[in-house]
Amino acid sequence: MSTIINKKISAIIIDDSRLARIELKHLLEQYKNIEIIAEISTPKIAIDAIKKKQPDVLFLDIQMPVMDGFELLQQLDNVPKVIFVTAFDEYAIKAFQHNALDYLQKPIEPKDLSRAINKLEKSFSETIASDENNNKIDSMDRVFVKDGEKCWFIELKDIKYFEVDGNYTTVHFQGNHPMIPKTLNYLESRLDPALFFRANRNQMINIKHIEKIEPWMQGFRVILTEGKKIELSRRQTQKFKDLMSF
Amino acid sequence: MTATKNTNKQFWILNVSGWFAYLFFGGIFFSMMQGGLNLNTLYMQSFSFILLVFGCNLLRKLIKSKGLITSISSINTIFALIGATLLLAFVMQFLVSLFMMYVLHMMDWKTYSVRILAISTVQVWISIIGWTLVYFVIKHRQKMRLQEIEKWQLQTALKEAELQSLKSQLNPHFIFNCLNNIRALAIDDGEKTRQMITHLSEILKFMFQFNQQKLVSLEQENNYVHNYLILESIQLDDRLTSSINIEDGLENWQIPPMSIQLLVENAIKHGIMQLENGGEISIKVYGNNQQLYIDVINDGMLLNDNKNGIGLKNLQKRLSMLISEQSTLTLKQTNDNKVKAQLMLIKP
Repeated sequence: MSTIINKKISAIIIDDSRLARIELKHLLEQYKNIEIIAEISTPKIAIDAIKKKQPDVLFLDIQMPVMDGFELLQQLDNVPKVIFVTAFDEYAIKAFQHNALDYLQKPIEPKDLSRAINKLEKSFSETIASDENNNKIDSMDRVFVKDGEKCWFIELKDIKYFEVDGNYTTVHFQGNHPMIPKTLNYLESRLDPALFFRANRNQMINIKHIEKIEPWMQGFRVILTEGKKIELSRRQTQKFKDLMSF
Repeated sequence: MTATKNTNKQFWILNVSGWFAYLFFGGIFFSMMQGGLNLNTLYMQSFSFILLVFGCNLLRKLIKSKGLITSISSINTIFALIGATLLLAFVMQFLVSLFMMYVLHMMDWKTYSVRILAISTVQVWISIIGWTLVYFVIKHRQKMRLQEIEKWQLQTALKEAELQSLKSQLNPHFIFNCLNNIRALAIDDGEKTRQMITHLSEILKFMFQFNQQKLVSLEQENNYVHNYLILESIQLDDRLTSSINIEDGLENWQIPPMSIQLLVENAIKHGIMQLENGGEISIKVYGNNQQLYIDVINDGMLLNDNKNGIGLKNLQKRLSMLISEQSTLTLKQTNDNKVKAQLMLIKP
């Protein structure tokens, strides 16, 4: 177990400024358990690298050419831990503070960096410990959602259901309902069918959040945690029976 | 404070000299009627003079303390004034009568009658009303003048405040990025670090020294933009190239500070930053003593929503306030994948 905890934390630095990358690398030199596996200047390349290399953490700049840091995260189906690194940017800082996301302001104060790294190490040792005890790793997958000024890292297990809203989809989780610019069909194709089930044309539910199933009209309806009722369409009822194997 | 002192002095001069002239000519007229100068007339006029001067001062205090100047149009004020002046006239005339009886011995209670008192009271009353009218006219004109001055002061202050609010500010994001880059350079390139600190301090000098002014010379703005471009090209690595060309003979032109810089900042943010491989910004300044053209041309595509940026709108307003109404700012896509922002300044 101790060998797992001592495993290095792999990191990718994403910043369009070469000097900013040099500066951050320099500051990170003293943290021997952080291994920088890539330094990337453009978000497009970064997306491929993240998918391929699966880093533990991203040091991510916000203002970058073509696509900003938030847009980059929204392109990822599974988001690693992120430490935002940005020069004073009122708009971004508001977004970070809203959900207590980790961010560092350039030029980085070494004390702030050390605090952020400590927090990171702690969360990694916890994750690894909990992974060993119960096999929850699948539901630890997270997505990044930005809705106007607010943003969240949502763990898939926390999402109750998705709902169509025009070309957008509303994500319902822990009392929040942000909209994301993706269609429900796209989400259905990307998410694990063992976790998310398309209840009808407009809604997709998290199976782990089903509290009760009851007969309804000619089919079924499910009651999710905290009482949200969702009907199953006739087409989906049979699939649901198969899935639930009854 | 000095204003009140001045009006106070003015009041006493007018009050004393006015009543003096009134009683002096009244006395001469009276003497002529009587067929010669009489010592009693002199005493009577002198006594009346003292009473009128101080009586009217009382009246002034009343008008001031009740704020009657501002409420002159109300019926109550008119009645109060009629009452006060009538009372003053009556008391004064009664005192004059006593003076005439007991000091000058010009008459006694037997020859005295209510009719005499009434006639002389009305006489004094009319002159006090005359005084009141003059007082109100003077006060009203003073007030109008003050209001006029205040209006101008307010307008100037408003214009000043508007200019202040329209002024562009250097983006803090830029400064912190510069400092961060300089810190990175300091790891292994001391000479370049020194250069960059010099450029940044030039920028800060401009911000503190010249940005407070309404206008700066073309040369000052040019130096500022030059420093700004060098620091931005450090931030953007090799993705930004730039050139500045200023025609000779435009030395006399003064422009609002940061106006070219704002166009450059926009060109970087919406143009160069959106291009993966970066691009070029070229600045051309040309014209004559009457018209000045400033072109900022960058690689990139113009998006419709850039046109309404608040920074550009504010710049346009500043130009029309500080240069002339005819001065314009235009932003357009030229056919070779470049965006051109043009300032056209016309001297009024």
